[in-house]
Amino acid sequence: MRSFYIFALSVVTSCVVLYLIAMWSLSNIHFKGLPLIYRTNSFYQWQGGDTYHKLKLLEENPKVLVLGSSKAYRGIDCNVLSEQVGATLNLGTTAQNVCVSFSLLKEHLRFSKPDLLVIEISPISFESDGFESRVNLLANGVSMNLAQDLGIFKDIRYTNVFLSQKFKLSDESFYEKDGYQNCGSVLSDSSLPAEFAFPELDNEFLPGEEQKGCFSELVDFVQSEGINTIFINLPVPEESKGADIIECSSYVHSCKRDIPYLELDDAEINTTEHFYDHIHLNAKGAKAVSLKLAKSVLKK
Amino acid sequence: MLFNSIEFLIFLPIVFLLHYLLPHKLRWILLLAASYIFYMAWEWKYISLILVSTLIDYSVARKMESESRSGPRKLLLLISMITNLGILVIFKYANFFIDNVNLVFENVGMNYLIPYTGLLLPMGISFYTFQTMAYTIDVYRGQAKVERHFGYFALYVSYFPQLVAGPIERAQNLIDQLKAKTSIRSENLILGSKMMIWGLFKKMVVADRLGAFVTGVYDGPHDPSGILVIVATLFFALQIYCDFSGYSDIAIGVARIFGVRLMDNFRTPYLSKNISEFWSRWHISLSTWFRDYLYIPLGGNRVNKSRWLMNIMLVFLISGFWHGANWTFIVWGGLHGAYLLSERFLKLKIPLLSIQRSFTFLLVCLAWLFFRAADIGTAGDLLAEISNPGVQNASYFIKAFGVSQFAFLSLIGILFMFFDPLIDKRHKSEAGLKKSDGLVYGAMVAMTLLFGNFGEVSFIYFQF
Repeated sequence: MRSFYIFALSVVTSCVVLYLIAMWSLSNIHFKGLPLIYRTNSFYQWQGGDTYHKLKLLEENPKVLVLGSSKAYRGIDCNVLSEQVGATLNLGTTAQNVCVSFSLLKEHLRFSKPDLLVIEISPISFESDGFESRVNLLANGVSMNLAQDLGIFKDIRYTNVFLSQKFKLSDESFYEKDGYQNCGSVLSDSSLPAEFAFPELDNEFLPGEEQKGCFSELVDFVQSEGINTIFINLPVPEESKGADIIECSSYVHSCKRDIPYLELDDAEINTTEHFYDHIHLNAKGAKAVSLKLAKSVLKK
Repeated sequence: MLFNSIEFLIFLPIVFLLHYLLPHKLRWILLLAASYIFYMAWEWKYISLILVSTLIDYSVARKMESESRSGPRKLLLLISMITNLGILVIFKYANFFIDNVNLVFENVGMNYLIPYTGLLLPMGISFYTFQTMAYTIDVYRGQAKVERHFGYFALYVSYFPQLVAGPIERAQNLIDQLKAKTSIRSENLILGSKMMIWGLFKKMVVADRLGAFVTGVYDGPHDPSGILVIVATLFFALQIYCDFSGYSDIAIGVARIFGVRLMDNFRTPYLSKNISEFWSRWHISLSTWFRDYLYIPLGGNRVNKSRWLMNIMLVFLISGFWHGANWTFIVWGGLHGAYLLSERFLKLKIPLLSIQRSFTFLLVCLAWLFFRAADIGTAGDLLAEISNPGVQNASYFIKAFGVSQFAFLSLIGILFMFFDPLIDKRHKSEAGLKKSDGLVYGAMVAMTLLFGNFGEVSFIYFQF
């Protein structure tokens, strides 16, 4: 057995050394403005610059904290909420599901407790496995604490992304999104063209067990911590309203307990004027919806 | 359960430890239970098909043992063939036949359409039915001894390392090894680990990564241009080789750590000088199966020329059909049959080994185009596109896919073609531990961790 132990030990040692050397080199050698590691696999592509910037704001002390998917960071204008309600941080990130929202909330609570927590809920919050969302966060400089909560060791791809971020010598964002506001929102001035081809409707709501569990834990958590919370459902164009959205709403109603759930869908929001694609609000839409949200919050 | 899954990463060490902790006489129970769990992790109901095959072939062989008359022995063999092929026809080919009959109905103006069976294709069905049929045929011919221990026979049919995608083992090779008392041996662990590492590297770094590009071209919504079809077909040639030989390597490696030597299934097939050599290096366990149980019983080459030609064509057409219930596979088999016949008759003298190899590789790639296409119409369209280079279309597609990723995949493909024969040689030599082994296999693991596809993509041959 001695030779097998020598073999195993030499494989493990070489693997660790070569992995670290390759990871360090690929993270620091750039090609056309991007580290080489980003060019080797498609899952390195979700490193959006907005996430990088808003994670830097994580330690600030906002009155209002917004969590959710791209619908949230594109559809809630943090400037409007800041003016109307109080300093707002929009921590919405790409494809953020309930478990990831919960992790981000716990991370933020290490620094401060918001007066109001707004969580955007849509079918993706329950249906997404969170891969895209976790990779996006891990690629943008999260703390070890948050990385562990996101399950950094559950998938080697998470470990790779996290290490490549930690190994890079320069602390800079490689991607920038037009319309980034320094309180977390990303606003687009474009409007939907009249001849826009909408994708097929999704009529099936398939919530994952893990997300359902996280939702229940999240509700318990905010209630036990006494955090003022609202769930919101942001509008989508009429052409994108599949049965999944209605089913998701009913599901949230059935298990949100006494946390308010605000349906922000409104007849004043119209497809061509207030959206820039099949689900995301543009700057004008975000302003209108945020004003409505502020009004509801202030009324309560 | 997939070899490239977390479940298997937990499953294998548990089975391995228990195997060597248990006394020898109980090990078959553990391995049989592990094999059934391995299969049921995919779809528990379909274990019943394996049980039916096992029961029938066990009983038929036992009965044959006590029967010396030719007639009843033939009848018993027939029962086994009808059962196994019946399972295959019902679960794998019924919808294909229904589809074609419906097409005829439509063309003659009949309004009635036969409904599809709605049955799920059982994973690895073609592999275990062929393995168990081989046993019954060998017993019938007197080439294999009858296995009286039901447990060991059931284990032979369902042995988990090679259950779903081979190598298709003969009873003579496997059962005695399963029965042999084994102890943990360093050389088995080393070679087994090497084969598993290499197999996983091939699957996750080469096959699954190239597969993303191939799928984009072959199954994408837009008509690809000629350049794209050519590149995707070259990538597919590497993808299917790495996917299938990767599976075989892992299977051989897993069996090896339990002290069992499975047969070789691939010997660097893309280095073949001609098609005949290609078939002695590609999916060896299947090509020898067809040779021993179809080609030779049909008369092989000891018949007149026209019959011999027919035998070769028939074997390749059936081999194509074995792969899948689609005309694309039949054309693929037919093309290989035609290549082989042309080789025998034309006796082309191609100079230089590298040109011979390249020419053979191109012929194989042309056949892969049919193998990969979704249907025969798509294959025709893709083939027609080859004459239209369409540089603009190709450049648009590659930009959308990612130029740097495309370059990275091409580099992986080229490097793999260079290293594959060297690694294969390293495994075949079995010369114990080499000084460079730690570095070579450590580098493979590091590259798999860095560049592998960890999306748990199924193996292509599971569907056959």
